[in-house]
Amino acid sequence: MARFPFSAIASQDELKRALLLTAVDPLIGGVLAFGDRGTGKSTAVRGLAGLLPPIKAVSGCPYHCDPESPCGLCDAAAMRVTLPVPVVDLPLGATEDRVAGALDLEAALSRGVRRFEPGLLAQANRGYLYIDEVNLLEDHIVDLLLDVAASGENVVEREGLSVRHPARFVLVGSGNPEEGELRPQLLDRFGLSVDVRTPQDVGTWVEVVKRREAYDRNPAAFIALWDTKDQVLRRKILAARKRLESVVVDDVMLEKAAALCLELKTDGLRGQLTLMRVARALAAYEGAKALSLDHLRRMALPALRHRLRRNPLEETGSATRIELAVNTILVA
Amino acid sequence: MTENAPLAAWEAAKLAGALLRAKPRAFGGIHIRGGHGPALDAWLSCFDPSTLVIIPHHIDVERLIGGIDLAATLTSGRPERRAGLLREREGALFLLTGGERASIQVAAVLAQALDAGTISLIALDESLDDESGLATVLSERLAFQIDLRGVQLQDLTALAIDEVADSDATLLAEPLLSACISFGVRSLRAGIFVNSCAAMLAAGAGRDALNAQDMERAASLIIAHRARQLPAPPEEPESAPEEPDTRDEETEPQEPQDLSQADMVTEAVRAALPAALLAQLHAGALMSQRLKAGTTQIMSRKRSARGRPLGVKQGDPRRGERLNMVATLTAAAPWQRLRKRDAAETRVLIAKQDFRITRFKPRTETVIIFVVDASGSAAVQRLSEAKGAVELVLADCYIHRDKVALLAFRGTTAQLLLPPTRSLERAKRALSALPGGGGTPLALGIDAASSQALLVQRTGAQPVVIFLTDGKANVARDGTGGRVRAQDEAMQAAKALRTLSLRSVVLDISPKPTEMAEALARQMGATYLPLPRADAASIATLARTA
Repeated sequence: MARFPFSAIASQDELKRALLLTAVDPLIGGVLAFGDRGTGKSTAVRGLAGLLPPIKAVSGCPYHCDPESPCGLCDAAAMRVTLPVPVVDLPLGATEDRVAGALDLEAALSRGVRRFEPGLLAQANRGYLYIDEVNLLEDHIVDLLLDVAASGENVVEREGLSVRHPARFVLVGSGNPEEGELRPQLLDRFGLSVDVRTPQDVGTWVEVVKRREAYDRNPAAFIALWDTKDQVLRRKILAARKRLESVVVDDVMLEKAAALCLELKTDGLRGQLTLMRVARALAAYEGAKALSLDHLRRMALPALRHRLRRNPLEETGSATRIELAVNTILVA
Repeated sequence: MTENAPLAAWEAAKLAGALLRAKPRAFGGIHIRGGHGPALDAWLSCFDPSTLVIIPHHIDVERLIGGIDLAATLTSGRPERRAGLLREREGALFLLTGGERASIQVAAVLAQALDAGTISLIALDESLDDESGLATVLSERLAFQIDLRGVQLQDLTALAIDEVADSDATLLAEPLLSACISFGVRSLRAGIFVNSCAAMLAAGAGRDALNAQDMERAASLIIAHRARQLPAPPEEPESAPEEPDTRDEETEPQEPQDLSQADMVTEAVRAALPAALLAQLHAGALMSQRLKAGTTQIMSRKRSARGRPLGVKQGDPRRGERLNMVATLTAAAPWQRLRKRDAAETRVLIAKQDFRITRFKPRTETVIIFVVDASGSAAVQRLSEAKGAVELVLADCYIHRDKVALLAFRGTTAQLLLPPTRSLERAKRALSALPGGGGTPLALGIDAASSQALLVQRTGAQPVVIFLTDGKANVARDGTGGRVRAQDEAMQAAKALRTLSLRSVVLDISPKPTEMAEALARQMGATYLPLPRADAASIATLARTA
């Protein structure tokens, strides 16, 4: 299916940056995009699929596992195939069966065999799981996702089935905070959080409408037109992945990040870890040899804004509090 | 609005219909306010009935996306899949009836199909103004919203058929996009809709440039019902475009004309604003009340009606319980070989003990309604404590999954300041400016609480009403002063509230607690608590335990 090219998305720079960095280092965790509807969030996630370098997988493996580290559930000696990075849409109404996988009815009825039919979590392994309106998702599905996102493994123990399979994916959620908050446990699982607002300048609107119309008129030509830019991004991601391990992280930077988290009283260690990781990914992406204060400063907001303990009577928003702390602590 | 408003609605309906027929994928569909009736019938007759797929709001999601065909499965003895309607009738125009009652699951599946461009949709929405309407996931993806409720029989005369056509020329209506911004439209989709709409109107008239009328009509069709604010008064010059050097200029900028066009578009949107929406915009903060309530309320209704699935158990589906097909077949599977007396038998043999039904854990959501006496001198203090309490309750309501609403009464009115919400962010915005002072129309306040509680009950949730008042009424329902009558009416209202049989609390906030509030509490069957120095934290604690 034709996809709107990632680099042709005219707005949402913060979201695009966050997504690109998770492509450089998937261990950053997911991305939460909270804000207005119809601002190109899902277009960005889907566009990312077309952009990312394909993965090598064991042929026929329902979890498309890596031949270098097979999942043990498939025939690792099978042929190797190259697949596009999976991007799976989790619809709001999805049932637990469909998400986690369930008994294969066909096999059960026709042959009397208990066999597992993998669900969406299996499909999303090594890729992206996108949930639109994540804050409206049924509680028990959220709980299920939480467990799997934390462990990287989907465990199914019911209907006489006993299956565990790898399910490592980058969780991308979007939603509108006016329709309900997200539980802090789930918030914390997202590595980054970005604020998505409708652009307020006509120039951006004009550009969005123009590009959309051009795409609708002739998708193939439009994709070809933007392909060079997508290729550039892809090469940058690949180069950054190679460089990632060699980016020098000074102890001073670690201390600064720790001090920032302490000042902001973020819960747990996850905030600090994510901040270090994403800042390092940014450094790699921009070709820097070492992690600098500037990288930390730029990533503090997306890495920490959803981790501040909320005092409802406090009028100052999370963004302002982080900005203040950044300006006092992350200075040379 | 003006007297010919219904005619305008009819004209808009015809135009929207023509646009959707011409380019269904570009516009997604039409959100119709109003239900079955002559107006709808007349309007639907302009669509080809063979391409129309009618789906009721209670349609099974499985029927939409496909799943196991029960009848075929039982006859053939092996699971038979059936394609869903979305696949079967790809490219068709779907008509969703009773859209306001559609579950979020149905809405989400339809929204995905709209995104993929495989269907277009007309959604009927018969909700009243104070109810939650069509889920926002859907309404946001439908380009048009048409109100057929006011259309009279005599309006249904055939108007000249509007000409619309698709064109290859790329026309860009910048004034329309500026109007989207100045009216606070939150979705870039609207920009794409409004631009295509204007371009198709121009092409239909055989012009290759947009004129004023194209833009006016496009603006009133697309932007008006999406407005979330009124544009700033025109004193300051409309955002002078300063960025042209960054993008290629195809048309010469014609500043003066652009400016007047922008004004004209603004006027067109203003004139087309639905009256109820206009009133809300003027009132300020509550502008998103109806527009945004949709999904969450439907969610909660479905949730409490159904609860969280607890798995399946053996049971008899004939008692109105829901048969779980998959579980039933699974239960029957191991016995097949034993049950089959004849090797040629291919059907699945299902016995009574195989039946499995889905169990749900019923869970009732609680909506805490604060009713605040905002009259007199203590109003400001009281209101800010109530506001604090609302925010504190909301801050941890994700644990309880509760909602909070806030009503205030003073002078001659009772006002819903915060409709039931779980969103702290929304509450903060709605509560940022609270009015205070004036007389005490206690009866009005209690009436408002009753009707809000009733609405909450109708969604399947459990209301808890908490009054913050000294119980001293001095304004009657009709707005006239007079303690005796005002007090009488308040007691009547309290009695009426009692009939709803819900939990309520009266917090007596007067410095010296009097019998008035206690009598009121008795009358409405409420718990009475004298709390002269009510502060946010203690009210919040109380609300949580009420």
